[in-house]
Amino acid sequence: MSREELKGHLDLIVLACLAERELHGYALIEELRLGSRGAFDLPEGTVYPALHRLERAGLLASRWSSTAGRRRRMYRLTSKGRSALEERRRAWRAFSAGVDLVLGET
Amino acid sequence: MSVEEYLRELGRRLSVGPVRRRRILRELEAHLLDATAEEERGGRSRQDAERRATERLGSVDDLAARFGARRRSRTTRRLVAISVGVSVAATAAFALPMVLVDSGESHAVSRVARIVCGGENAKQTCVDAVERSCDADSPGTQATIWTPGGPTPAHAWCRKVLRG
Repeated sequence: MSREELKGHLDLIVLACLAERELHGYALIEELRLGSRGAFDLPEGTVYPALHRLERAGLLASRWSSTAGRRRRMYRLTSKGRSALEERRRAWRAFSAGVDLVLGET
Repeated sequence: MSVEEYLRELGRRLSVGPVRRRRILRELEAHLLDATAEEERGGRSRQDAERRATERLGSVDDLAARFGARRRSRTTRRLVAISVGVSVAATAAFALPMVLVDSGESHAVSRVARIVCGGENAKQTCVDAVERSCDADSPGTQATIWTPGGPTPAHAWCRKVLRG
């Protein structure tokens, strides 16, 4: 998937990464890279503005955390974010299933 | 470009308020230090590691633009928030501690947020709440905490954090 295509799905991917646990930006980028086995190699600078935007929209909450003398901003899903994630998951699966049907794959 | 140079340039180009700028720079500094350490573990010199870390984050101009891209539409929404905020403040001022964020540009109350400063993590709770309240505000914004009984100890350190 190209970087431009990926940007269109960035919100869904970020929300999904934060579904199970709180992460800071760097850990989230690593999670994306490793979790997708290298398929999602986003420009790192796109992730932080997305995190801030999702927080302003009320889908994420954040707090400062200090580990080993370094302060990091930790992000987690809000209940509104969890609902949004489920809604976007459903939309993505419907879209993906439709594309598979058109392509003739099951 | 070194990490220090990158952050200095980014700070110059961000078109966001001072509190949000400080948060962005702190957050990205931690990111760049993590990335630098990772590159060093891969065998690069410190100088090369910092250069790689900043390249991975992308150009300063692109990043600054992404952080500032929504300012115009948010300004419109803030005008509505000013009206609502003034009404809510007038109603709730005698009942609960709150944060009033005063815009340095218009000198009008632009946003109201309830805040709880008690408990074990009182300071961090209050700082986080003020930062959240100020994130969307424009350059020059300052925050002041008011309580029904006047300025509180929280008032002093929150002002210090925001200005310092």
